[in-house]
Amino acid sequence: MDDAGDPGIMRRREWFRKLMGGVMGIGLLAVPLGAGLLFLLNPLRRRAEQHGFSRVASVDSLPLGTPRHFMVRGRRRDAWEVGAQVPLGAVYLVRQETGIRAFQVICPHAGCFVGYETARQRFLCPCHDSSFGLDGAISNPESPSPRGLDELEVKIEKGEILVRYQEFRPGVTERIAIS
Amino acid sequence: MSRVSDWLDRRTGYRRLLSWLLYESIPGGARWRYVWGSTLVFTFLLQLFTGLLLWTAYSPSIRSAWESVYFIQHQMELGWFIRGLHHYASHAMIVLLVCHLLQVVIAGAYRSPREINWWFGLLLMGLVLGTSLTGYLLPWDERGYWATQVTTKILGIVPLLGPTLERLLLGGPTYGHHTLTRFFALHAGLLPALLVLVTVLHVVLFRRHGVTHPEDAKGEATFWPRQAFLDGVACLAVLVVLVALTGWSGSERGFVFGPEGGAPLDAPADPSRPSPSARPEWYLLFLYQFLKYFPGRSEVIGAVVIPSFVVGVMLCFPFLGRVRRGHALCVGITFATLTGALLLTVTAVREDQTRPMYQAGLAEAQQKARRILDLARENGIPPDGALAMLHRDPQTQGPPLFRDNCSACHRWDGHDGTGARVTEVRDGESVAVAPSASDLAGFGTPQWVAGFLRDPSSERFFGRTRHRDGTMVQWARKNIPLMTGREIDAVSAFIIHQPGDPKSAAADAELMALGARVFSAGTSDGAQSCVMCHQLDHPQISGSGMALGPDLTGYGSPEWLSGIIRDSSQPRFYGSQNSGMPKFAHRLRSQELQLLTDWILEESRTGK
Repeated sequence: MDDAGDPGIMRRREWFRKLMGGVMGIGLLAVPLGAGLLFLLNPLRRRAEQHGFSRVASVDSLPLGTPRHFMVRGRRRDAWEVGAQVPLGAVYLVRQETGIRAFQVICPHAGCFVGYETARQRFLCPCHDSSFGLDGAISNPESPSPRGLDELEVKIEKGEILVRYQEFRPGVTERIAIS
Repeated sequence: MSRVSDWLDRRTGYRRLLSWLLYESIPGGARWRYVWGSTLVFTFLLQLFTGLLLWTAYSPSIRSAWESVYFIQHQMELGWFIRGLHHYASHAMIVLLVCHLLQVVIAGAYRSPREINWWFGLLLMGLVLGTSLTGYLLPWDERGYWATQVTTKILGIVPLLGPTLERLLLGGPTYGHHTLTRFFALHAGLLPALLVLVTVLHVVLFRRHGVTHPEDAKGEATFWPRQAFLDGVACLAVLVVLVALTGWSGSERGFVFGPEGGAPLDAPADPSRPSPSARPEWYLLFLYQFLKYFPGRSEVIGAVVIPSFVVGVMLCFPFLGRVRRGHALCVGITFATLTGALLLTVTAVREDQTRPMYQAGLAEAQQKARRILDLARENGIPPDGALAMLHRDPQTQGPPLFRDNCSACHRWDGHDGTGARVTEVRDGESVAVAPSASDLAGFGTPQWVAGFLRDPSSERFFGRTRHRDGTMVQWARKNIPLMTGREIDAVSAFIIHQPGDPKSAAADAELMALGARVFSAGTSDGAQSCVMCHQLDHPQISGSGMALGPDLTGYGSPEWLSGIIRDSSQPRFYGSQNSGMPKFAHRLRSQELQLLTDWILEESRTGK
């Protein structure tokens, strides 16, 4: 090639080579990687489900002053599966003279299932010892939980207790619903 | 920048590796024919990447495999694209493997000192086929299920160890959850790991001996930059073809870049239903066709002995190649094998094209695949899985139930419910069978009743039953000429749209009132009423006759229809006048009965 020595042509050729290499590299990597990223980010686009009220227990079955936990069943969509009456989680129901209150059993600190200590009449989380009173508020200032137990909406219909099941983000002071 | 790379190089020595990789010597310079290996590596890396992505969403169990693949294909962003790439890249691997093999054989690169690398190459080919086979089952759809059955059965007929190996592969005596978990472990774990390992060995050995260049090759170049450029162009071409294939949905629909395109997904596998259109992937059709020529116990020869022999001969190429004209022989054997495979493939495709059973099966499979998609999109998939949902769907279950239980006597628009003619074999020939009872297409609609009233002795209705000269036929002969068309339509609508019928609220009130009058009192021109023989509990009907014919209360409702199917000889229906229809109360489970009645009524209403 007689023009091989021309520095201008060499430069242009080098530039063209880099351009082609770049275009090929982008094509070969960008198509699978871009599609893969969108695919992996799918969970960010799935919307949390709003649950309606579910029947949990009858008023008669609830003793006065002692919380008990009940399973909540309801409609749930989990990826492809739609269950009409699947266990969503559990709630504590507390019946007092003033009425019935429902608390989410998940500890707002780190997400463990909170227990109830009958002797001291308090909720106690078995993981990091957060404790809560019967009204759900933090009862011991040394509790690591950033907020009291999350209260859920309750209504009574024909002697049955209905609860609207919700979960909240743990570890933060505000109540932020995640379902 | 250079300080950072200096720092890195002092600690890792990466520059030496890079220069080893890039500055491979290529005597004779870069050539297009050297690109196959690189395209295979690229396609394999694409498989690892898309496979890993699919892994994040796939669930291997017989009640979630199809469901999760459906979700990937139809609900997740670009899921159809990732799955399509993975599917078609597996086809591309086979095509590229064959190209690579041909290049190696023609160049004589299997000969000394590259024998071991030739064997590694054949091993890689086996591993790729194994990965394709195990992957075909994973969606647990009809074609994957039935085609893989054939493959594992072939393993089972291998002498001595076959049955044990088959059982180990399936995770039990038959297909089940552990078949999927094991196939998945093979497909996504063991086989890719082996492929990576052997590919690395293959490439290292290849670098040790260099490319097999033409003997008269002049000059010398290095891999970088020109061969790298050619390889890059070839890989890009592979990617473009894969993207195009992912979008291509056949000549009718053209390119569909969306969930409706991409890799096919049949209805979920159903061991209880035939699937005559299930075939292995196109690149295994030649083996499938080959098996047809080995009847009975000789199957093992076609399925195991001959393929093993061919592989054995190929393993011996390095030795064959040494003798005089040995190279020509090896090239000849390779081309003969490939030509044979090609001819077998073409034969298989052409036989299927002219086989009614295959074509009907294909149409049915496509219809079922569309139906399950509609159901899944509409309601989501219940916890007991997509197959259970399909089993509860009247539109899917009605036709085979009608064929199996009703079509011995009844017809549906002339056919057996599934669209096939009813035939039997007489003197070795298949002849059409005449029905002996009514044609039920349209049953439960006013149009059907009006047609019946106008001519009950027609072959569509009572013409072939013992009622063809019965009271109803005599009544119609005498009275129908005395009625106007509107009166016939009115009484028909009145009988069907009884309280409780979903359309009764929307029915024309004036027409219904006329129908009620005709039913209970006849017409002004002297036509006799229906209540003389039929009972009907209705607020507008008073008085009743002798109950000679069936009680029409709820006529055309699911309850009435399932009642007459259960036992038509009840006094409420035909009583002692029953035409010989068997009692189905114990033949059909209550769920089947409900599916059948729902299908008859729904199909009649929608006029299909």
